[in-house]
Amino acid sequence: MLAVLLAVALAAPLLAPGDPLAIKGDPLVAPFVQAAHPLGTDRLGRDVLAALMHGARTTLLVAVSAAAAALGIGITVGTVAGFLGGWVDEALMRVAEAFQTVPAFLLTLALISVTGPRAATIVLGIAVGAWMQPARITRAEILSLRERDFVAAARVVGMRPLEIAFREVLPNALTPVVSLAAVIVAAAVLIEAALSFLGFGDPNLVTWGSMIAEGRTVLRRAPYLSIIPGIGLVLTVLAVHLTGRGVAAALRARRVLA
Amino acid sequence: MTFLAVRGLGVSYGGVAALAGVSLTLAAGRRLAVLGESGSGKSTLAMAVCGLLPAGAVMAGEVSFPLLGAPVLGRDIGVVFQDPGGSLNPVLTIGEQIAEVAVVHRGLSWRAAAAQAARLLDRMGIAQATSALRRHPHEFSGGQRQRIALAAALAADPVLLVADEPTSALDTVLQQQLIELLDQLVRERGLTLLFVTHDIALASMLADEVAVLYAGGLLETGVVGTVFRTPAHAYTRALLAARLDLDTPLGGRLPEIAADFSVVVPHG
Amino acid sequence: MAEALLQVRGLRKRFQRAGSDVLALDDVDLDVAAGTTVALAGASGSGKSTLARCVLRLTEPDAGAVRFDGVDLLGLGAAALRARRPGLQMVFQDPAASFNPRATVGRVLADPLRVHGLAPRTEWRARALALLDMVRLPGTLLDRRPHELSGGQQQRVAIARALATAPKLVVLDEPVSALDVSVRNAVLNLLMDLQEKTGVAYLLISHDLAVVRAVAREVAVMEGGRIVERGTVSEVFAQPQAAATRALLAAVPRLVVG
Repeated sequence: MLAVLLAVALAAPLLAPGDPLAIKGDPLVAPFVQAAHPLGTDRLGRDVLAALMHGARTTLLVAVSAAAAALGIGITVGTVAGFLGGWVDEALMRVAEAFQTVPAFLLTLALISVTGPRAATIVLGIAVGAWMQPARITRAEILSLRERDFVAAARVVGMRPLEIAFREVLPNALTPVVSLAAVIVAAAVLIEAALSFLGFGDPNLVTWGSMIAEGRTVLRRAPYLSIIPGIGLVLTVLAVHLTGRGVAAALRARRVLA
Repeated sequence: MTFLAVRGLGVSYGGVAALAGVSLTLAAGRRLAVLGESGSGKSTLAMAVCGLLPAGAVMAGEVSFPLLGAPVLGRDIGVVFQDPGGSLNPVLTIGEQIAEVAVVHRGLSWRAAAAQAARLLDRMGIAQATSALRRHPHEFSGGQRQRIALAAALAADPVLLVADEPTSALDTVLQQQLIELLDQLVRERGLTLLFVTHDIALASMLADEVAVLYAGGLLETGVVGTVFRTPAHAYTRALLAARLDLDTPLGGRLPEIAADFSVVVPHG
Repeated sequence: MAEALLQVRGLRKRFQRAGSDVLALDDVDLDVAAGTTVALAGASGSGKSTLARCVLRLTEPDAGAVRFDGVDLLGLGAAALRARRPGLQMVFQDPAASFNPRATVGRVLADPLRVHGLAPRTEWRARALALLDMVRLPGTLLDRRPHELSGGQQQRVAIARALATAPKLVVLDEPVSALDVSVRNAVLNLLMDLQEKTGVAYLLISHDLAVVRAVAREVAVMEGGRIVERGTVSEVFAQPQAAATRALLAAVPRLVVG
């Protein structure tokens, strides 16, 4: 499922060339009525299908970037904290706790109020709001692996502590974090959609949230304008969750065999 | 009278055979050592006898107890495992764990079971048994935990004791103590004993009979003295020749076992 | 008389365990001469493993000196200590646990070369093959992971790793106690052959006096953090003075055939 979504998102510029915000046809054409606009058009006559596909692109791009950033920050912090321990660990965990008190959504809003609505800001906001969980999980795994003989062996060989942490221990600590990745992506999708819906999204990009927001004004006459991107969101989040579970199961199976 | 009869026993996990065509009998009150190395199937045999094979294991053949009919694990069969830490619940006190066995399987009241638990711990050599009842497994050393596990195994007064490499995780001194304790308990209570080991000397010290396993198959079985004086199979001969103890002749290299079980002493 | 390769003087280590204080090492002195094998025997809790870990500075002792090849290891900073690692290596008790689960045998053997710059990258494979040959393992194992090997093979790889830097002393922590009887002797023979060939010294930790007797010339018996008896194996075993020694000797299983 996710593969299809990914494929469509990547292929969007090919399948529906041109600016999805450009006005193409008559306004408010219902879906499945005209061949040229299979999913209908919106209030201003823009093609819904094209918007949907471009929106998919934006949504996935933002969500995956945000998740990647969150994981990147989280894993690094977790590894350093778990491996070095002592005051470094204490300090980093206090920082994590501080960030934890602020919901990612509000944090992103705050950032947007500073920089204006931009995709990059949204990515940063979500990442900053979501890195703590990967950090904690990575740290826990590192703590349990730290005392193993192979870590002692690496020290005896003469590897430097950070080298041991990132090269030897971390790759073995990633399994639980991978499952988390899917959850973060899904959450990011929804946060981004919510922000766009409220009007804080990047106005130059089509996203499903903005589509739903646009459809709000004509909800009675043309409910499909909001419903279609809404379905898109549901399917995407579902697909991401399922993919995450599949990957986790595959990793577990490999571990058992090993 | 035959206490335990194993006929044509085979066990496989996911298509891979861990044990095949094993048949043996054990009389009541006798002690059998199941001797083998890793991959021999010795633990699988012990678990099949207990009825503790994991889900997904496919069992062929028959394990029967002519005198008992259908033995109940925990009540008629007590089990001690290799890992002193793993077989005890870290969250419960040891008193609870030992007493529970008697309460569940013999219908004793908690009070009576606790008193019995204290007596058992005392017999096992755990100091201050009554206060020890309230402590948790992690407060004891590995050797003590193994003796606690033994107490739990005996709490319901079983007739068969199965011990799966009970001393492999202990040092030689603790091993000796546990073996002596096992020897005394088996004699005192008239237990039938099945114990799994990779140590041929240990088998000779504790058991009356021995079954030698290799790669899932039973190579030979018989009275300990006979098997070790006049082994029928080359593998048994090789195990005997490669044994290291305080009388092993020195100077030069140690005897190695080749793939065909012949024993070679390389030149140093 | 030439200074012993390893000189331990007045080593002391205290642990906090379950609320109470345990004196794991109580003023321990020990010498290992170049090219010889000294065994450290004792029951669990006697302090022998702690002594080994302190010598390697895997654990920091509270007091004392560890002179290796003329240098006090305890006084070295982290970088200087790492620079000395090639001369002093270790083989662990549980071979499976002493390897990074994700590393191949080739990488395990190349790591010491890489960390200390002992060979250019292009030579790593050849050197790893030579090491495998030295421990009588086929070169085909190079691309396998350690968990795919048998216990005996794993321990040989561990020995190869320890020898990769041409050390002068290798600490062997219960090197054969986790191995099957049928491979035990082969590994012990290998260790003796390698000593003859390379002149490496061994500090052998063992609770099994039969193994000590087969491999070591000198033995020090530990109990409660102290060395209670020391001498040549033949002397000590024939005329044990300390109760701990007598207990260890009595505990060696004997074949009963009568």
